[in-house]
Amino acid sequence: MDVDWELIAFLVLSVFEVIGSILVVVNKRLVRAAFWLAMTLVTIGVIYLLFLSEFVFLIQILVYAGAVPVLFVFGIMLTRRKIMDEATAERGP
Amino acid sequence: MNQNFPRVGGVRNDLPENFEAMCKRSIEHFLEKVKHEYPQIFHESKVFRIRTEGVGKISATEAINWGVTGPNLRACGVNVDLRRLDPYEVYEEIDFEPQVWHDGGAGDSYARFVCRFNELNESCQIILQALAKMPKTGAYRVKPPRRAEGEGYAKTEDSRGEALFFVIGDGDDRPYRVKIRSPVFCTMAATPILLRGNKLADVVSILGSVDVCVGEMDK
Amino acid sequence: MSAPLIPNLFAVCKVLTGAIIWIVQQILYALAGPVPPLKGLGDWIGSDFIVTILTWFIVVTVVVLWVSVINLFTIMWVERKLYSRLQDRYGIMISVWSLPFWPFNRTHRPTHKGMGYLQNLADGVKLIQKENITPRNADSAMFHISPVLIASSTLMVFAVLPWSSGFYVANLDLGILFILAAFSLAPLGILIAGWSANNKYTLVGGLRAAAMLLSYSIPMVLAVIALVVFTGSLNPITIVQQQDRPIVLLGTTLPIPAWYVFGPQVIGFLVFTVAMIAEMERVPFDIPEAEAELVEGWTTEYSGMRFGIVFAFKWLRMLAASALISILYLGGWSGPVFTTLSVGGIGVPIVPEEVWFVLRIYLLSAFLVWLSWSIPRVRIDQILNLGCRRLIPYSLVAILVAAGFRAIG
Repeated sequence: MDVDWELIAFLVLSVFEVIGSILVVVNKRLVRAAFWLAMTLVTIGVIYLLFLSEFVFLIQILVYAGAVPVLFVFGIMLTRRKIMDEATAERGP
Repeated sequence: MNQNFPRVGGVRNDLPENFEAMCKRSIEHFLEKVKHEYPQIFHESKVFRIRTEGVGKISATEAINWGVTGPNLRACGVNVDLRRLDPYEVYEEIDFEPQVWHDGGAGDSYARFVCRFNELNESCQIILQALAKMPKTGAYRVKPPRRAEGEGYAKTEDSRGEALFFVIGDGDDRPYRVKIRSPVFCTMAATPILLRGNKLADVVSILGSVDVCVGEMDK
Repeated sequence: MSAPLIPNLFAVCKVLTGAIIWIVQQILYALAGPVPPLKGLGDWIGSDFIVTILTWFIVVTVVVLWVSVINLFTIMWVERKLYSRLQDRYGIMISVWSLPFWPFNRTHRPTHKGMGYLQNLADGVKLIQKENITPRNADSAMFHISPVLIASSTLMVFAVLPWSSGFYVANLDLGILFILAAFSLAPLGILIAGWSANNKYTLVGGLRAAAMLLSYSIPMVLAVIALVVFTGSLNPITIVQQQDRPIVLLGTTLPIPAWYVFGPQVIGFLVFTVAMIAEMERVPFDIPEAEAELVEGWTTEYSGMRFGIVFAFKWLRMLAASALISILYLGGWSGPVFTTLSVGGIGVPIVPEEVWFVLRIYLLSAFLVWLSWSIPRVRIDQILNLGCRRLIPYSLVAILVAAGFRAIG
């Protein structure tokens, strides 16, 4: 049985990525959404690695996984004070 | 750390033997470091200066209004030293100079630090003069008056400010009332002026330069 | 001029794995008398596929775990002893003489006057047996996952970092970029750690850390760009090979090796070192973990081994950063081999490349420790001021200088 490992890897990674992106949008807690965003972006990077472009993978990790979610969390913490207060009233963001 | 040890009636024990020689040796070693090593570590360290300059400013009028005394007040440019204004004990005979920040206007952490630092040298000179002037014979032990009546008042210029002690005795072996004006307590009351407007990381710098000793504040 | 002790780690480990598998095979064949299927198992173990996989495991274990962890212990010991001696005190002293069994429990020797090497192991054991407390109302999933993020992003570096020209797990053509990407994953982990602990002071520490680490990543990468203009490659082995020759200046050969720190890259070296000190969160840039102000900063709420991981991996990052600085600017592992012994037909260099590399790492780390314990801590806005307004222009100047020198030739 000739298994196409590349196809299987691509499917697995795509499942992770789609689940991650759905969780980004659906999640009520904003900081967790930023974390899922980081995971989604890393998975996209691994797909780049699957296509044998290592340089784009590394730049994706450097820029997207390293800087963008951090900036999102900064943006959340510095602006949406009212949402943070409401969320802590219920359960915690 | 607290440097005053108030005791009704005076100090209990005599100085140990050979005190003068040991004291002079310590002071010599200390003064050498104060002249050469410590300015290199503190005054010439750029990081130390940017951490303390401009931080925790308090103006002279506000310091006087809030009851700030001691080196914290002298750092604002006000030449107030209880040892010169209202000399107690033997301070009239001792020749020293209250260290005031001469630049005028700065009441920041660096000024407080510099005033305290310059006092290191002055204090050593005071000790040496006192050792020279001290009578060489006779005991210093004073028996504590066990049952005293009346009021007693002592004042001292602490390293943190002016510390005033008021004792009322009524014939019992415990005093009826003791009231201590703790300098740190009054200085800490001025924290709305000292701390506001600065960053969280400056709290360490300000409280360190004000020389907070919580045990003394608690009196 | 310089020769490695182990020219090919994979080959050496394959021999080792082959030996282990041969022993296991003999045991299986001996047992295959009563139980016939074991012979098939023995044959399958000896196949090339299994041998290769096991060799990879052993290579990874040897390089990543053993070499890095033993170096971690030694660097922690060096730091703790060095700063204690700088402060005129003895320092850590738990060593083998503190063990409670024979032959170490000699009664005439006090237990706490040893060399101190085992103190870190003792601290690790102490931390393992402590209770792992999770604060109430803390974001539990992220609280537990952030030490994992920090630890894994640090360990990733050691998969690509070569210790000599033969001692590595993987030699990527983009090795330096991989290491920089692994360093830049740290701010996310630290921010999540500071946020999820439900403590306003850890949040302050985490935000300060994220701001500082992000803003110092920029001059770090720019300094490496200035270097790549010269080297033309991001492969660490190539970069070190280019530094292994003496400088040729205007036609005369000087007896100085052509390390990049001796050339026009010295601005890049200073910028990169300062940026690395900030990335490692060492004093003077350790305001996120400021002990006098925020208890332990963003690691306050971690107890037990989680704190141990986060705390120890700070030193592992120092190891990785010193290794990176010495590969890029200080000549890596190049150094003269004074003689070569011949052991059973194989040439064994007396002072191999690994020794030079480890020597450089420890000297650089000792210098960084000395620097840390002599300078007061800088405030966060002053740190960011320094990073954005001073370091970035200097690194751009370094790129210009490098490009200019390259254009001249």
